[in-house]
Amino acid sequence: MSTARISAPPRRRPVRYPGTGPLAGAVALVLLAALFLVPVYVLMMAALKPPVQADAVHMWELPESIDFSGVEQAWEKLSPNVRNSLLMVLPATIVSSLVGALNGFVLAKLPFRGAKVLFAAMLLGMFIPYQVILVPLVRFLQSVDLYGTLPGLILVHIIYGIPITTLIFRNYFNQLPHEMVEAARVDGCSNAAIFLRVMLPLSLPGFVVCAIFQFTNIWNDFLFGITVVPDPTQQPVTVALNNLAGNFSVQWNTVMAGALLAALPTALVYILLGRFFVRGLTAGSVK
Amino acid sequence: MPVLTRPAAPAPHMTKPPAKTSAGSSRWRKHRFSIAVLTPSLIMIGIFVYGFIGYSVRVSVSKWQGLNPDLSPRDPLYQTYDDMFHTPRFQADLRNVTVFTLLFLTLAVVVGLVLALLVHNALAGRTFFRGVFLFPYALSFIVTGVVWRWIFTPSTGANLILQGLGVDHGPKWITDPAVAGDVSSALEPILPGGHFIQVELGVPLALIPVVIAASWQLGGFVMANYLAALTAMPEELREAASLDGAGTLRYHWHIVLPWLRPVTAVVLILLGHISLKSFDLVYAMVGQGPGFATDVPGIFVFEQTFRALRYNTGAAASVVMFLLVAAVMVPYLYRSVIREKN
Amino acid sequence: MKHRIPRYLSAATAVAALLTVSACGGGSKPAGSGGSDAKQLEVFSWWTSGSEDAALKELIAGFKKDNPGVKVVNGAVAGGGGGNAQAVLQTRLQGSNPPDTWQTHPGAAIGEYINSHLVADLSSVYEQDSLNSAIPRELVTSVSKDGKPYGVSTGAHRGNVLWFNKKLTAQAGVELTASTTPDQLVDAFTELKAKGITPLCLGGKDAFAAAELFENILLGALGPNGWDSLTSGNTDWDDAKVKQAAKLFAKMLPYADPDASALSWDQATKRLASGDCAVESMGDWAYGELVKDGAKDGTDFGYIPQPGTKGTFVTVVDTFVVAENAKHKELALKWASVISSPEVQLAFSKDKGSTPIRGDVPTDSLPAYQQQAAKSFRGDSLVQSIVHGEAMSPQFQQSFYDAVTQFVQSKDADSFVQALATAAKG
Repeated sequence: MSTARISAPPRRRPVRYPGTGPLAGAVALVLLAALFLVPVYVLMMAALKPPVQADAVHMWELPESIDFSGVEQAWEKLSPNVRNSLLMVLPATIVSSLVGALNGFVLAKLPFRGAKVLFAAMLLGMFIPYQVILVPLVRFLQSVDLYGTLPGLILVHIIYGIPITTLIFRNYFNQLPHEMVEAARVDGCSNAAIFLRVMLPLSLPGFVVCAIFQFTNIWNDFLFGITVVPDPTQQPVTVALNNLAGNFSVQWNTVMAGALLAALPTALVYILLGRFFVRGLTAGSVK
Repeated sequence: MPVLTRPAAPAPHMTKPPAKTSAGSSRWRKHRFSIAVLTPSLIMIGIFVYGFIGYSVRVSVSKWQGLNPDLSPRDPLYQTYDDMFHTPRFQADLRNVTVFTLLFLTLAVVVGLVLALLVHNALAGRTFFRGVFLFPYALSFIVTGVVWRWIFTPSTGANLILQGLGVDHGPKWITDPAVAGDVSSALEPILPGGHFIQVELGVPLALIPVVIAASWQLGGFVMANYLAALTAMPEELREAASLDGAGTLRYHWHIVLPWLRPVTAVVLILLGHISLKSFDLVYAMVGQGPGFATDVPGIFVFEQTFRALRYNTGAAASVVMFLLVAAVMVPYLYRSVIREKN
Repeated sequence: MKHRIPRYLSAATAVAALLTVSACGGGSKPAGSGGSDAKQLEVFSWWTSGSEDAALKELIAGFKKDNPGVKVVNGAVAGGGGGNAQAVLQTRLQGSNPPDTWQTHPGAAIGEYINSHLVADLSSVYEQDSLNSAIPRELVTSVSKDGKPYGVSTGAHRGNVLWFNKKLTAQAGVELTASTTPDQLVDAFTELKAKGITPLCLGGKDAFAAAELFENILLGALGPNGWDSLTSGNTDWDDAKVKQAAKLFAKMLPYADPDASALSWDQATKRLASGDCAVESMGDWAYGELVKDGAKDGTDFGYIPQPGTKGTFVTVVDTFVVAENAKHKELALKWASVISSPEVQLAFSKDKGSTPIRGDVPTDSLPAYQQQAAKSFRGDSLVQSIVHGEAMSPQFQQSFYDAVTQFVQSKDADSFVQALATAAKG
C-alpha cells in the first residue's frame, strides 16, 4: 500500500531559484565573505607577528617579518591538552546527539499524553545560568566519584546538551511526514526499528547541525572544563588557551596563534560534516 | 493557487494497535519504548537542572555571604532580591540583556538567512563559502572578543578604515556611554515610585558593536540550520511553484519562508539561550563598559559570587535570569503546544 | 517499501561509519585520574604568563631543589582579572577539595580563609625560619589572627606609583617630582592637553584600573593615618575628605584617554610607552610592562609616588596559604618554608618585579626601580589596598569597583560617597 507513495519521482528538470541570475548572488557572496574575514585577517596577522607588533595599534598592518614564535609557543603549551579535548568532545558529542535523536524521535513521532509538557520542562533546562550551579555540580560529582575525571566532564556535557539536542531533533523529525512512521508500522516495524531504519538514515542533516552545535559548544567550553577537572594535565585545550593570557602581561601573538590552533579541529569537523549539506539528499524519499 | 500552501497534513488514518488483554498492559506495551528512551534524560534533567535551581533558590533567600555556607534564611526572605533590584548596576544589566537579545536575535537571523539562501543557490564554491561563514563559530569567544575590541577601539580600529573612506569622525563605538532613545523620563510620571529606575532606559550605543561581534560569530551557525532545512525541502515544492510560474520573490515568500519557520523557532531558542547567558564574549570584548553600558547579568552573577563572595546575591540574580527566560519561553511553548495540534 | 531499505541502510551505514570512526579516537582510552600520590604538591595561582609564570617557576625550582622527587602540579588559572581562578578555588573549597597551597593577599582576603578555618596555622614555619624577625611586623600582622600567622608572603608590589612618559612631559614643559602636589598634577594635565597631548592613560576596560586611580587619589587626600581610620571603620565614607577626593578624581577624568573604556590596563601602559598618552597611575607591575614594550627607565619613562602619597607605600602582597585539610600537608608546609627563604625571594622578585618582603635580602642585584621601591618599602608607612582586596572585605571591594564605574560617568560625588557609605555598613 505504501509503494505508491514512495516510488521514485518523475524525473523533471527543476527550475532554478532565485531567478535574479547567478551573478548578483555571486557578487553578494564574495562581498559578504570578505566582510566576514576581516576579523580573521586581524587574528591571523597578529598570530604571525613578532610580539611587539601584535597589538591593537598595528592590527591592520601586515607583519614586518613572519614570526612563528607565537605559533611555536602556542603549540608547545596547547598540544598536550588537545588530546584531552578530543577524548572529551567526541564521546560527549556523539552520545548527546544520539540521546537527542532518540528523544526527538519519541517526542515528534510517538505522541503520548504529557509529552509536550515534558518537552517544555526539558527545554527550559538549557537556560540555567551555569555559573551558579558550579557549587552543587562539584558536590554532586564528588558524591558519585566523578569529580576531577574526564568521564565526569563528559557526563556534564552530555546532560546539559540533552535539551538542545532534543530540541534540534524533535524539530527536525517534525518536518518529516508522519505517514512514514505509519507506513513502517503497517509493514510490521517496531518503534526501535522505525527509528533505526527509517528515521535515522533520514536525519543526516539534523545530525550535522546537532554535531556542529555540540562539538563547538563542548570544544569551546571553558567554565566546566576548569571547575570539574583541576589537574592541568587533564584539562581541555580551552583552559590552556585561556592560560596563555595572564593577568599582568600578555603576548598577543601567542594567544592569537593559540586561538587559531584550538579552532582547527572544529573547523575540520565543519568541513567534513559540511559535505552532508547536499541538496536533494532526501529528495525522493520525503513525500 | 493551492499548491503554494504548505504540504498537506498527514491523512488521519490512525492505525489501531492490536487489541490486547488489559488496557494497562497494552498502554505499557505501546509506550515502553518512549518510556525507556525518555526516563534517563528526565532523571538527569531533574537533578542537574531543577534540583540545582532549587538549591539556587534556597541560597538566594539565605544569608550566605563569604566562604562559609550559611543557609539560614534572611528576614524578610526576599531581602536579597529587594536590594539587588535597587542597585543601578543590576537595573542596567536587565536593560542591556533585553536590548542585546532583541538586536542580536534579529541581526543574527537575518544574516544567517541571507547567507543560507545565497550559499544554497550558489552555482559554485558552496563548500568554500560555507566554510568561510562557519569558521568564526569555531573560534573561542575568549579570543575573538579581544579582536573585536581592537576593531572597535576608536583611535586605532575600524575608524582608521572609515577615515580612508572619507569619514573623519567615526563613531565612538564601545567607548560611547550614551543611551539612545531613553524612555525613563517618559515613564517616570506614569510609573508609581518612578525613582526606582536609576538608569536610562534605551539602547546603550556601546552595545551595538557587541551585537555585531556576536552576530558575526553565530551568523554561520544560523546559516547551517537554514541550510539543513533547505536541504530537507522537498523538490516538489520547487517544481510545483515553477510550474505555477511563481517568480523568485513570490517563491521565497510563499514557499521558502514558511518552510523555514520551524527552524527559525529553533534558532531563536538556541540564540536566545546564548544571548541570555552571554558572558565570555562580553567579558573579553568590553567588560562592563562605560557606566555599565555593556554589563550583562552573566558578569554580575560571576562577580557577585566569586569575587564579592555574595553567594546569595549571585544566586538571586541567576534565579531572576531564569525566571525572565521562563516568562518568555513558557507562553511561547504553551502556544506552540496548542498550535501544533493540527 | 522493502526495496528502498537497502538505500536507507547505506545511508545509515554512512552515519554509523562516521560515528564509529570518530568514536575509535574517543571512548577507547579511559582517562587516568590523577590519584593522590603522596609525593605530589598542588600549587594554585593565577600566574600563567610571562613574568608571573617565570616567577612562579622560581618558587617551584626552589622547592624542588630541597625536595627532589616530588611532583609539583602547577594548577594556574588565568583570565577574568583573577576571576576565573577565584571561581575555581571557591568551588573547590565549597566541595572540600582544596589545592595544597594557593595564592592570595594579606588582610581581608586571607581573613576570609582564616575565619572559615580553611587554612593551616603556619606558626611552626615562622618559628623554624625565624620569619618574625625578618619580615616587617605590619606584614606578619596582616596574615595573622590571634597572634598566629596563616600565610607566607613572597614579594610586595607598590600600588601608588605615577608613571609618566618623559619625552611628553618635557615637550609640554611639565616637571613631575616626588613633591608634586595633586593640584599641580591637574595643572600639568592642563598644560599637556594644551600641547595636544593626551594627559592621562587609563585602561578602563578592567574595572580595577579606574578604582586604582581613585584609591591613590583618596590616599593622597587622607594620608596613611586617615587611610587606616577609614578602612578600619573609624571614619565614615561620607566624610568630607572622601568627597574632596571624589571631586579631584572628577577633575582628572576629563583628561583621560578618550579610548579608555576600550583599553585594558596593559594596553594603556603600552600607550604610555609609545607616547600616545603621558601619565598613568598604576601599581608597579606596570614597570615590567613598560620595559617589555621597549621603554627605558630614566630616559623614556619616569615614576614618582602618586602626588600626595609620598612616604606611603600601598602594599599589594603576594602570599601563599596552606590548606587546613591539604592532601599533602607535610609538603605544603615545606613549600611555605622554601618560598620564604632569602634566595628564593630574591629570584622570585627579580622575575615578578616586586620587592622582597624580607629585610635581610640584598637588593643591589635588582633593577634601579626595584631598588628604589625596596628602599621605600623598608622606610615608608605601609598601608593596605582596597582595590586588591586587602584593606576591606571582598563585598566592599566589589561595591567599590561598581561605585567607581558609576561615578566615572555620573561624576555625582554625593551619591558616590553615599553608595560607598552604604556598602561599608554592609
